[in-house]
Amino acid sequence: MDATHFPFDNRQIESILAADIGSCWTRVILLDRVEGQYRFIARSDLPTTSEPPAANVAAALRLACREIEESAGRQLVDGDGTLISPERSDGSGVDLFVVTCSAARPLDVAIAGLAEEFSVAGARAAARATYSRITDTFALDSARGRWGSPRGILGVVEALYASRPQAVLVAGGTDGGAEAPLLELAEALALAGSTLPLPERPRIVFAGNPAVAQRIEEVLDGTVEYSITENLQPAISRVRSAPASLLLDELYRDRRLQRVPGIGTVQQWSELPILPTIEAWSRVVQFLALQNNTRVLGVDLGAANSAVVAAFPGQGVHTVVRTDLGTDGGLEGVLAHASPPDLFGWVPGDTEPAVLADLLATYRLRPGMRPETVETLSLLQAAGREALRLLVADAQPTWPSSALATHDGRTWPAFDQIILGGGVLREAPDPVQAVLIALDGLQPAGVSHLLRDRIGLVPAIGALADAAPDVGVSLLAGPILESLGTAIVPVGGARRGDVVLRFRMTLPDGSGYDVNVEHGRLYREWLPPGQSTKLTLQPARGIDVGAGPGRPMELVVRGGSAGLIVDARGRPLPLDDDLLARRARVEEWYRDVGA
Amino acid sequence: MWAPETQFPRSVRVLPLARIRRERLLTFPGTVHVLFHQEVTPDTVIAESEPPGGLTSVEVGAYFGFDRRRVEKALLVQPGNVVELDQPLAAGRNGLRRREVRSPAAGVILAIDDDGRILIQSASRPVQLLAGMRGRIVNVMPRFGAVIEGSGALFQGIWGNGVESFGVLRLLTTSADEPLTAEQFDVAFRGTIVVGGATTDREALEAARAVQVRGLILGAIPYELVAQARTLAFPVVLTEGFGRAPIASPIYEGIAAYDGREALLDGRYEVRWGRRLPELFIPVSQPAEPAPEPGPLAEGQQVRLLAPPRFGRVGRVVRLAAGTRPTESGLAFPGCEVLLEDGEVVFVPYSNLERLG
Repeated sequence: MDATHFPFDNRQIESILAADIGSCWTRVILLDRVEGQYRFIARSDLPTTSEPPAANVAAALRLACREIEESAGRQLVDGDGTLISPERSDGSGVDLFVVTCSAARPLDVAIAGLAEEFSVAGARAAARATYSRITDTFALDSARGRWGSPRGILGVVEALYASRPQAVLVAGGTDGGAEAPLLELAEALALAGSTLPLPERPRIVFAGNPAVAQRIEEVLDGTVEYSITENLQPAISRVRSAPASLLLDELYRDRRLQRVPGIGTVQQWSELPILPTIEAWSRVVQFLALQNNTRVLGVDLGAANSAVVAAFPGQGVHTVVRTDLGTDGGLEGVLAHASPPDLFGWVPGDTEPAVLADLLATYRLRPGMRPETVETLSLLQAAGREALRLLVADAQPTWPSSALATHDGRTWPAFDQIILGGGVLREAPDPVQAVLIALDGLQPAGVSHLLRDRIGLVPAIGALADAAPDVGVSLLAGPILESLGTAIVPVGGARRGDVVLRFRMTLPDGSGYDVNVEHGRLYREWLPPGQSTKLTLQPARGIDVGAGPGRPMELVVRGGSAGLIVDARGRPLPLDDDLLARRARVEEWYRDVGA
Repeated sequence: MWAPETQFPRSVRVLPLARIRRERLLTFPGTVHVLFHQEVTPDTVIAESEPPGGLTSVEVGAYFGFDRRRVEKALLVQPGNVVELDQPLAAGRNGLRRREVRSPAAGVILAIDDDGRILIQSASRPVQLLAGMRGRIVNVMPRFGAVIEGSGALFQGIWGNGVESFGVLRLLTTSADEPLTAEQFDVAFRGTIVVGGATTDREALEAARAVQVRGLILGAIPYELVAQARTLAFPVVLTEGFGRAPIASPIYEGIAAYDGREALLDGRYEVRWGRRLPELFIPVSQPAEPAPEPGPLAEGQQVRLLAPPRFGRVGRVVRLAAGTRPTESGLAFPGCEVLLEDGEVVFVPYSNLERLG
């Protein structure tokens, strides 16, 4: 590309069109520079057209452009259906077009390692940092037999023959550690490759003991493709999953993302590479953590995939994607992994769990359906809660201790800022519903400012990070993210009804009132968007709000559309085993906050 | 008012009689035996391939209870050897009796581990893909198969258990909303594709297995029966979803007209990444008009409502772009107005309807 024609090279970008192509929905947003600030102008959300009859993601994109043209009164696409770029003097077209995509099928990955608790766990985390589906797990020390099979190493060959993943990630052997089992595994991988037709042979990504790498190459050479990367676990206490994740991510882009029907046409419209949506989220969350020197958690609760991205000052970014959890296409994973009381206990009313399971499973068959009734909305929000709970369970082991609050031997997420995105959270009609989904699913502790990506702009800002970082920064400085308010979650041992926290709410006119927070309840105080107030939190003995057990804390909390929420229900949430009792308690919580 | 959501509506094919094009493709590439414009009958071989054989392991050490040293002596084959079905793989004495372990498949010995496990890759077996219908080849896909055009009826479902089969259609229930029960099955239904009603239970699925039906078509089954349905050797196809729902009237009536006719029931389906719906195809010999192209959603078209509170209801679009309206959930969606079979006109979000036709 000729650098002099690069539209964003030393040139003011007046207009941006951003598209996020999801597995169910394609969201297109038009931004314009007005009086030096980038402003949201128009948006179109349409079903993604990757499946027949269109079988071309560009079709939904063109329709969305046409819808935006009508609402904004501005031409975006020319007569032959191509995006006009750069912006013309008559105001048609846009200067920049950025695309993120999560519509591709996930990469099928098998993971293998020597120790379930160490190298296999590290390999699993590396695979889950991108859009992957783990097909098999082979652990030498598995309780089910050597390499996870009663048939030992030959079980690995049989399993790979049956599941046919695109990649096998091999970890294990600290630097200078075990060698022989890795060579045995390599022999099996070569053998498995030889049983499959060439196009179906997996790529082996070796991220184990480097001392054996050359011999592994000799074993694999000529049979399967392979990549050798840095040791994922150079020492027992060290995990370095980024290089292996990067290789899998490249494979995902090459074998999956680039093969989304019509993605080539979309790529032709944009001078920037199409970015996986989670990569865009990762950039934004990392930027906010660095900019504000805070712990930031990004939550993308999508239709087919769900992800959490955690960033901490000086400690990098940690991403976990679950391609089997979501509130639409990913409902089957939620149904498979969440128990009926866990899932259906969140749905008020007396509908039988079996009937609700039928409804969820039917929703999954036709991606893109919308909730028309309160019960269906509650059901999808319940699926969102469970997807978040499962995600956090996966993600917590990858987080540093600074992002974890400990109580009674268990840990809970402790973040200063939590950004909520994805359909169910974005579309919750009442902002309190979005807050409750996050509090119930993530079960955070301490004080967190909750924000919601109401427009769906986070992917676009992330996609702009490389080419036009100033634009992204300018957008984040504006009111693009909806402030839902602040959540205060005291944790510590207490009985229902005990006062666990005291503070005084000050109103704009200077008057105020004292709040005595009882254990077991939820509170909602009025604190609208744009306002903040100074609080002195006085926790009871043994109760922690972030400064340590029993320690008071002075802070300024920000308001939002849901206000100030105090969640004193305890951690873990006291959820009854009996479904009726659980539903009754959940309804009581909803009433506490007027949801 | 223009509504972009109408351009690529969700659709299910309900074609009581039409000139239909059907793809017949191998899952593993091979050789295509038909030519462009060639006339085919149901028995015509469209294509053939030889996919690699499956893997089988044989536990020689465990069978004899031998340690590694004795296993080595007992083995009669080595990796790389070609073996026939029933060929002895190992022989040894266990107590007084001499015993043999024979090969469960013809193939190649891939590997033998230290514990005496033998891994065999079966010899590939040719797979023949039959036309399954009378018609003419209108497209050849080199190495994979062809598209056949012929007359017939086509009804798509929404979920299937992944199995495909031929059989004679038999209506077992007297109406679309009657449940299918175990008592309704008897040996007379052996070899037939049974068209049932609104739902069924565990016992009825077992009864269908016991009398060896060739397929089941139902409106819905409870989701808890999915695991059981997936173990069945015959196709199970649902037209509506899970729970209890009668087969939509245009589909039920369309199928009922072919009671007693030979049909192909294909229970393979994919929700995402190459969406594919399960289907019932009934070949007929009389000439027919070409199936209409799907195209955008239009007024007058028949649609099925997909979400509560009107799951499964059928009607016709009477006002296409009816704007964006709030629903009981508190969310507002763009949609159209639909005249239901009982005369009620309701607003339905585009995302929650499916065109039948």
